[in-house]
Amino acid sequence: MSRRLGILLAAAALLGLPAVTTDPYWLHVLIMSALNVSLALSLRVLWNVGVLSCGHAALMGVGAYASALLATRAGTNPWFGIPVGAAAAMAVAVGLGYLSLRLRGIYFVLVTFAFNEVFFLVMNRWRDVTGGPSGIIGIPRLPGLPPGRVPYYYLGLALLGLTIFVLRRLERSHVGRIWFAIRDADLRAQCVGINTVFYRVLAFVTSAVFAGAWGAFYAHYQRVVAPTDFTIWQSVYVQLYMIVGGAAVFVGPILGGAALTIVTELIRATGPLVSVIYGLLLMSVMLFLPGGLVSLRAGLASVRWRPSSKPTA
Amino acid sequence: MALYLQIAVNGVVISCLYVLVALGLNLILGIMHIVNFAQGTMYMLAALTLFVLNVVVGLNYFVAGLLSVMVIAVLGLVMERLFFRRLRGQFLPSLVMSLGLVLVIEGIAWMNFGIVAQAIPPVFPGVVRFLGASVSRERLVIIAAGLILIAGLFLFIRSTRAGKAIRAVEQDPEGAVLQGIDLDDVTRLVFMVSFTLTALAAVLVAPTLALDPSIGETPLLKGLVIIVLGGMGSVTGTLLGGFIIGFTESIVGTFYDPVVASLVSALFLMAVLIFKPSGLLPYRM
Amino acid sequence: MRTLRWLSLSLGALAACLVAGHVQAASKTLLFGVSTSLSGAGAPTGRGMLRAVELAAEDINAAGGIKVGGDTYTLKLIVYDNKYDTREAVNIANKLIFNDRVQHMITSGGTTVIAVDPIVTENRVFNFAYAYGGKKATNPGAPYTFRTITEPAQAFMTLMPWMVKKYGLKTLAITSTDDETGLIQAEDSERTARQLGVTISDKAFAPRGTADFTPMLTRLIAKKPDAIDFGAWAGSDGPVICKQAKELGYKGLYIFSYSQSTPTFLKVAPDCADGALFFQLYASAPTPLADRVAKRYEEKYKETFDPLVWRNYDVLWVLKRAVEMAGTLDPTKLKDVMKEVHIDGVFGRTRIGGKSYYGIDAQFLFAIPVSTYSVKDSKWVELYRGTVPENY
Repeated sequence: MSRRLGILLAAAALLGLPAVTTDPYWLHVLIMSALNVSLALSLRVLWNVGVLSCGHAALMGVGAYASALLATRAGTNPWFGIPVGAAAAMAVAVGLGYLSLRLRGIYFVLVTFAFNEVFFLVMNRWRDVTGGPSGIIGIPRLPGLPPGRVPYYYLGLALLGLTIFVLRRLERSHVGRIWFAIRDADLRAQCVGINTVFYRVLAFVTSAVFAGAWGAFYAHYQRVVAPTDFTIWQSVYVQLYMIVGGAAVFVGPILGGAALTIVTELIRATGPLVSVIYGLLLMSVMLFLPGGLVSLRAGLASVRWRPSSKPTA
Repeated sequence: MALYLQIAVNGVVISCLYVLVALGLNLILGIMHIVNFAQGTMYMLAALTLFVLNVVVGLNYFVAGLLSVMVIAVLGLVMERLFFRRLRGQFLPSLVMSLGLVLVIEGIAWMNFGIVAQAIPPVFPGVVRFLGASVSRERLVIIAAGLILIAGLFLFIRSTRAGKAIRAVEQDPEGAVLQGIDLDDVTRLVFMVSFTLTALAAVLVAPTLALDPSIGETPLLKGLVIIVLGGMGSVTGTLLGGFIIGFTESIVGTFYDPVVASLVSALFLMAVLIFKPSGLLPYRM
Repeated sequence: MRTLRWLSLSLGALAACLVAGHVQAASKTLLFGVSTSLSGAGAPTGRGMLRAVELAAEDINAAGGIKVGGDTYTLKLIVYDNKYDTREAVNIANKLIFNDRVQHMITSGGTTVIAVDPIVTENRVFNFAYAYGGKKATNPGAPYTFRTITEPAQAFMTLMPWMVKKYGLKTLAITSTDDETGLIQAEDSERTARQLGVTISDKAFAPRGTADFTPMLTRLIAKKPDAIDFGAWAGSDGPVICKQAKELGYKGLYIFSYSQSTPTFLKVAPDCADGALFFQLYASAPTPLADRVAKRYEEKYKETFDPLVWRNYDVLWVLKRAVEMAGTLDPTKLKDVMKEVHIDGVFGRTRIGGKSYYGIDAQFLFAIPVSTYSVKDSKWVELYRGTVPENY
């Protein structure tokens, strides 16, 4: 009951925020937080089936470029771009997924790693189509939205709400249970007749849909997309949001995405120290809370000091 | 003819460099099953330490080089004890930990570095020309030293007790413990050897480079590609992977350009992963 | 006794506060935003720019600040690290504009300037751009963005005709980085060369951070061009690629059309600089002002002066002149005044122009030299200096 109340309060606070402050900077930070949280949440869908993706930024990029290109070259309505972006990312996931999800998880990581690299190189090189290193500029705003940042803020919140709702329901549904089963006991799941490859690809596709949709949103918000927005390092940052928040529970990526995005902004005034502080933060969390920020609640008593010379395979 | 010879020579040089760093990464990945992003940072620190000892303090290149390698090896032990020991076996947290280390170390390095890149005076100046191809003496030394190091590592892993202990842990940690092998000892050894290899690579290459805190990034990325290509945990695989990538860069880089070469490497990597996921020469140390 | 001491201390403190308060009331602060790369691969360029702006701010404040309508403004810099990343640059632009409320800023980094253009234009913030970007960054749709460095278009237009004639160049090979800066450099080089009747024998691109250029160079050298233009390879890469080309045996003309960091170059490959052409390089301080700046730099930062730092010293002085001419700090009025602004800067006369090429006068213009290094005499020698036409 108190959790429901907490969620309602948080939602109310977020919704009412623009009435209190219309500082575009903080609205921007919150919109970016919503983006990062959603990316981390969708990455977690894959983690639920036991695989880690190192190419999430590229999937977002697929959506972003698809929508940006359609809007700037073909004059399509940007609203249309969001589902198109999602669909494009989905198509990539289907192809890549069926090729690589038949194998052990670690290889999937590497395939996504390679894919991200290929995506970056192609976007960077194919100047005639993708605009090359400086990317696509002059991407139109979403038409019909009132001017200013506040409408984007509400749109971002709405999308975030949708993301959370859909992913939570999925996780709790029949499909979600199968995903966990595959993660924990793949062979057994197969013995029961579950087509594990199909469900793994389904997870990949689900994560891709959200990555692509948010990519399109990003394109029409920033109005500029460039290959450097979607590098392997960006994919690693998405992993960070998930891991630092806590990959084991649903709320982990939400915590991680929001916390890391906001902390980055708070420490910005330290100038060149930003990287150092951020790095120290990552290290501290991993040293004391390897399960992520969510394990703060589980109690500091659960911090274990592993004595050496015990076999830990 | 001269062109092809030059391409071949270029390929060998590039390969040797990449292989040395990749071997360091591979040991840690194969044994500890963790990705150590800080490998590139160690490469950079080794080069910068060499600079300080050689140019600022004035020590002879060989002495400075040896000291630098020792410093980095010790650093490896310290890191293992302080940061990685606790996270043994936990893939995700060690990933984040190594990333944090990279940010902190490189961040501090940049804060203290000026805006002018540094350089080490050449140790083996001069160029050797044969049959129309040319190679600087410095690079010939790199090839020779690199090959010796690789052979040395091979012998170490194959023939010495310590090397066999490492292989045992890699294959089956519990079984190894049952045999009386101390896991902590092996872990320490692996970190030390890995960092030593990387530091040696840096010390060898440093006279040919302009030094600043960003030089570790490319060897790290290439190293990752190579060990995946060759098969994680496999020394021969790393060798093969390194030479494939090195020659791809040389051949494709010459006939097209380095960007296309990277693209080809990445696509080749994807293909290997999809069709032969364990790598080209898996599990053969 | 103690009470007396306390009393006098408090009175002294009060007096100090009053004085300080009085001084503060009389002078205001002009916040100037700096978005640049302080870490990562772009750090040498970015930090060099920061140092130039720091020196200029100090000098302006020492000379009495910026006077507008009875008020005197002291310059204060707000500095953030954009790590040469577009997303960071956008976050920083947001913070500077909405949080710190700056109305004037400088941004460095190729793609970052392009990404930040929409925000500065929408919010009417003056943005100096220390980056290339060509017409994508500088166009009538971005009237608040002003580029502080010479673009390849101007450099090649001024220097190439002289070069082709003097060295009798017939064939040229081009190599450059595969980012926006590098591609623009290569394009402008090729276009200008072709216009002068030079054949381009080959082109090759690679990402920054490549340590081994031998494959690329092998191909370029195989066709034996009269000259190789090393495009946007600079900083740490410039001398290394030169060294490797020499090792491969290239005997033609080495052209460094992108400003090199001379201290770095001489540290890493001194022999290579001998006889090579360095665009935008002054053999010695071009003006007494430049000399003073170099000395101040060495005093303050305890490092060999890097002539690249000169490039951004004039920026704040230009702003000062524009503000004085317009009589206001308001960017909407300032932008219209900019095309009339000219100052005696580090490079001599600095003015703003470029309408014939970009469609808008938003490009800093000053004399462009080309120099070479003589190993025998251990010094830099200027070979030629030119400027773009007045109506550019």
